[in-house]
Amino acid sequence: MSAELPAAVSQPADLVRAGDGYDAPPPARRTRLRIWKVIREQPMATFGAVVLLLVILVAIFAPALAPYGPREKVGDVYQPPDSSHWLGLDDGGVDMVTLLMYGARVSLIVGFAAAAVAMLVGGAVGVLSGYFGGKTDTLLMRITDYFLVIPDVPLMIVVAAIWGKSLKNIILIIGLIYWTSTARLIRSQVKSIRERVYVKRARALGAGNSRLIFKHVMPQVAPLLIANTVLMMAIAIFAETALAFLGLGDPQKISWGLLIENAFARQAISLDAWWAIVPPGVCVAVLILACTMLGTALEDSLNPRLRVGHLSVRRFRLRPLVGRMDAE
Amino acid sequence: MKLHRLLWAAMMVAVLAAAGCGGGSSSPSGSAGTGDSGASVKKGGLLRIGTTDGYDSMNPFVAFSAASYVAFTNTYPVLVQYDENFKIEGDWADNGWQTSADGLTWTFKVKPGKWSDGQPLTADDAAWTGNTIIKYADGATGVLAPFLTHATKVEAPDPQTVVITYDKRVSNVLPQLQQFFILPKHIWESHTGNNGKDLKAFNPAADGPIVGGGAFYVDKYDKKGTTIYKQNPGYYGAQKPNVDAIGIQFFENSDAMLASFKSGEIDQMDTVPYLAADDMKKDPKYIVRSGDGTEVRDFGFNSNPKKTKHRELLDPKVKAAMAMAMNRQEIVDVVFAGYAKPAWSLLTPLSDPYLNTDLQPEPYDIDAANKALDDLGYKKGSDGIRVVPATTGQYAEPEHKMKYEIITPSSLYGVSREFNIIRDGLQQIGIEVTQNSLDGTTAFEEIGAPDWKYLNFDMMMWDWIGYIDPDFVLSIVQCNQYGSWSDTGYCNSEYDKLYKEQGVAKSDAERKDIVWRMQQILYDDKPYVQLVQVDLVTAFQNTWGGFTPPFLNGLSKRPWVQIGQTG
Amino acid sequence: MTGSDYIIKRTAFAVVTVFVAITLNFIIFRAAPGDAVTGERCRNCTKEFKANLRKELGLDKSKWEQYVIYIKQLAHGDLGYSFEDKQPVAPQLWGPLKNTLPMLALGTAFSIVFGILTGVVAAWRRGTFWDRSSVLVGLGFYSLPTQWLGLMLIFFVAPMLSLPSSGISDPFLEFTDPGWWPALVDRLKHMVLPSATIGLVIYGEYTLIVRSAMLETLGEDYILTARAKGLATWTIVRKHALRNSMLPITTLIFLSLGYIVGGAILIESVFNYPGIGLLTYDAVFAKDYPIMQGAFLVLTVSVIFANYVADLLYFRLDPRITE
Repeated sequence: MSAELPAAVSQPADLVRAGDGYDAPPPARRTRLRIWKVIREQPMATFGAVVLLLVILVAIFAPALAPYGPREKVGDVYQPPDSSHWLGLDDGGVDMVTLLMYGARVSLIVGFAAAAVAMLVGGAVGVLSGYFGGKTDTLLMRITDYFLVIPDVPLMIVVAAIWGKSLKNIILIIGLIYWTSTARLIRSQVKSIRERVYVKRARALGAGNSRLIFKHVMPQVAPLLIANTVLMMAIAIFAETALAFLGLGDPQKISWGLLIENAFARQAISLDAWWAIVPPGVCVAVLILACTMLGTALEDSLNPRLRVGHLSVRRFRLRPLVGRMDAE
Repeated sequence: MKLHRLLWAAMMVAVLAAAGCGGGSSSPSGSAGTGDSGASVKKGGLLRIGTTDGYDSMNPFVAFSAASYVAFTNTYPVLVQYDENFKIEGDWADNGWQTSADGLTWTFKVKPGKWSDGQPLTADDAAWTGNTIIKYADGATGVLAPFLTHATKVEAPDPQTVVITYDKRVSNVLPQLQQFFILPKHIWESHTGNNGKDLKAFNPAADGPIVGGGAFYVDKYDKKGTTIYKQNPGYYGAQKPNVDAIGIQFFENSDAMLASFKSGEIDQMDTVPYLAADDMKKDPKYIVRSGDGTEVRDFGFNSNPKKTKHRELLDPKVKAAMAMAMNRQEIVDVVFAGYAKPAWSLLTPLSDPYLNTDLQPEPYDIDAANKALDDLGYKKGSDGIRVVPATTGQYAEPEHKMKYEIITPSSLYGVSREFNIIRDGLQQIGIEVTQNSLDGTTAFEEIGAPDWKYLNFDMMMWDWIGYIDPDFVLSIVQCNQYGSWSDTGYCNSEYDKLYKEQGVAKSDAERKDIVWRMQQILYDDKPYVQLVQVDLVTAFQNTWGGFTPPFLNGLSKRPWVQIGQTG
Repeated sequence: MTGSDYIIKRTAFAVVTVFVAITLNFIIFRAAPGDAVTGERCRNCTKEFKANLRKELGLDKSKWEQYVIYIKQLAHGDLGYSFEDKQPVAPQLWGPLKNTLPMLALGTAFSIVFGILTGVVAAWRRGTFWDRSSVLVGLGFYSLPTQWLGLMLIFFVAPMLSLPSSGISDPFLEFTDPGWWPALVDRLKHMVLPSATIGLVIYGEYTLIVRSAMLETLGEDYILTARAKGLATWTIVRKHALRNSMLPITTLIFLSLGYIVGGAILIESVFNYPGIGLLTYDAVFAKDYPIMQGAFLVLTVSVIFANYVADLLYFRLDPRITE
């Protein structure tokens, strides 16, 4: 039923060349290859991907890799680093290196899950908005705008304080606050895809909306969505750290943010126990950096015409701004 | 960070009582303290105190915070206070008050003095304050009403005599009166409109200094910053304060306060973070003082006799076994850096002779605990967790594992560490627990859920900060405290009967007997396992002297009067 | 659409958003499970006492009635009364707001200056080590958790430079060293670290903007002509490239201000800085709903207002906007 024309193009810019008659969606395989290409060729992306992979591996294999147990008291409170405890012990006498390894889990889980929520909601809003246009578009964009003006950190604090701070709540809160940039991004993308000749042709041939959306629009949007999700992970991890610091994290789930908060609340600063505070922060920063770099590089190459403000961690909810990292 | 926030709820209305003087006319010589009143202490200067306990209000009808109560104790006349041995002595009243034979009428002679605005301080102020509190006790003055429970009127037959009349014999009149702050009638009397509600809306600090009648008055109030107190020139006390002024600087967290103290920006820290105390003791620049407090960390079980879930937790033998898996010493070492002691009662040695010293903390013995639970028939499953067999009858329950949830208030200092220690111990005897960390008010709601019927929760960890007089902290486990103070749902009519009896006991000895029996009941029934009693630690720069026991702060004017510079 | 159309549209949008924010504000705080009274523990908090308290605070009315009362009070500028001390909310917000704004202004100034410096260096030395490292370092700081960076500054920088690590001023200064100059110096000293934290974490964004604006400008024909004519490089940079980045920078400032005010919570809690962020945080944990609502409203309205200004500026920058 679908008139698949041979793929005549392989450059991203060609997606925009309307009226070519030979417009056709590049096969998914080609898109995956492109992602891989980006990762291999751009140093920023490589660094990001490698670090992310390392952290994931450490998180998964933490029980095997960690030198001690995450609840095991192996010495005194705030014992300084030595040969058997490279980063010393925390305020409960537990080995810091072990805690950092296990802490990666929550950071990653919250990162993935919250980003997934944001992606789902933002993606859905963006697709619907961009595809249907008109009143739907206006309404959804208005709602997006309202979400944009709510100050994020205060809202997270209020919701976490009022509705409880289980991991589930944290993931939901983060995801439901930060979906807006994804929505806008996807919307622009969907709008341009909708005008593709092959889409118009498919519709002329009688394809229904949902078929069009799922078979033609989504595959085009997917790579960008993935790139955006990686960026969203950076934001989610940042948010989780902030919440944990403000006492709104789940105290039973070891996370890097919680490690910082515990040390802070239990006099690490006054006791000069730098090993309890510095390493968790460094870990968070490195992971956020990795996600930002990878996500930015992917987004850039998958849709270079999209002039989006890249430093999204703190301002991802902006509308498109002038500024690109590789403006050559 | 918000360590102190929930303490205020428990510490409300500090009714500290000592072994008061029943109905007799004799009184211990209260003015001679045994602390170092320092002959070498100089006059003059500004004392800068750092604290992490914030004020919530300077209106005695609104305030709950411990810091506010310290302020009131020092800036308003009170009839009686505590001395350095934690015994009642006269403050505004002279020692040697009279009680009628039936114990219903109390007569105090009060010293002449002036309010900080120059107006005379007389018994009239006491009469107005007392009668106003009594009049609106069910409404606007509810916060202060408990201190005049069963009082019917306060009279001032002459400017130096105050007479309080009760409708029942009350065994702890004097400790209650320690928190009966006497307000300046000429300032407050125009704010009783609206059925007394205007009293709560009145902001005494709105126009600058707050008129006070104690040794000090509030010169500048800054809720989030620094509050300045200056000497009241009309203070009635024989011994005038050594310092000219006191500044209380509020810090959001202890590290900031510690940094300020170490750089010499403040002279005193009213609570030293436990982990930092040992290091400070070693430094000759500082004087670190620690002493008993009345805070007791506890582990509570849902003890509602009508609860429907996990009824095995109502069995004292189960609870006793669990208590043997709770490593109090580790809590003392890890959480409080040694500044705590194992506890076994809601009371502490500060309430002597009311603390039942025949009782002891349960020993930490994993093997014995395991054996006890084995003997009770709760076998360990393949996952190491014990299984409770199904029960029949009115409260039938299916078979279930011993897996429970413990509610903890997030602002209680070190509570997660405490939980970890308890969790590890319980794990060794085949019981698995998870933590539900909630903020104070939500935690309390969860404990009482649903709707103050105490049916849902399993266990909780919290604390109680009692008074010298045991009355208050013993009252919280009564049946009528559902939805009010009860955090265990415990209800025992025999206990309640004894509580009422101790309230009207005819002699100290009789009261002591009753109170000891009450503690025995609680020990046997175990609505709580009392974990540790926490010390109070304060620190001064070494240029200061004239110290009093740390716990006396807020119970007496002595700490602020006697402190002074030595260097 | 025409210029005035756009302005009207944005103004209308801002106004409506404020209204939505107000409603959202109400919903968040009143829709929560339980209310401010149920969990209270106090000496005489019997069920009757709590019922009375609830009536006093108007919590016994239906949610709709409460909403209407809320709107009516707002229209009169009445933000209600604090649960904690029964005093009006509005005056309690003003002081902390006044504390936060100078600190943020200083921080933003710092980030702009540093951003311009690094952006110019990066664009000028495009492709070289300086370019990559400027961007990377900026990105690196950007990725640091705000509160953690603040803690690092307290830990390592404060003792080195003898800077105070908490509070807004030395409260006893008036006793020991009165006069307006010591007071001002004292205030600035307390502001340095919090502002530096803000500056460090956001300057990276300005770096990127300046860099790309400069690169675009430097590639323009008229610049090449100017250079061919022999104009000094620095003049070119200053006159054209920097000027071109001014508008995006200004827009960015306004967009950030709105969010920074909210994000200041993290900084203020680390540095014990008594600003609007810390007030919000304290109120949340004290469950003082009126203060929470008031502070939240202030934050939201400031974001809306800042965005509105940014919208107008953006329009100035590029009147071709049709969105």
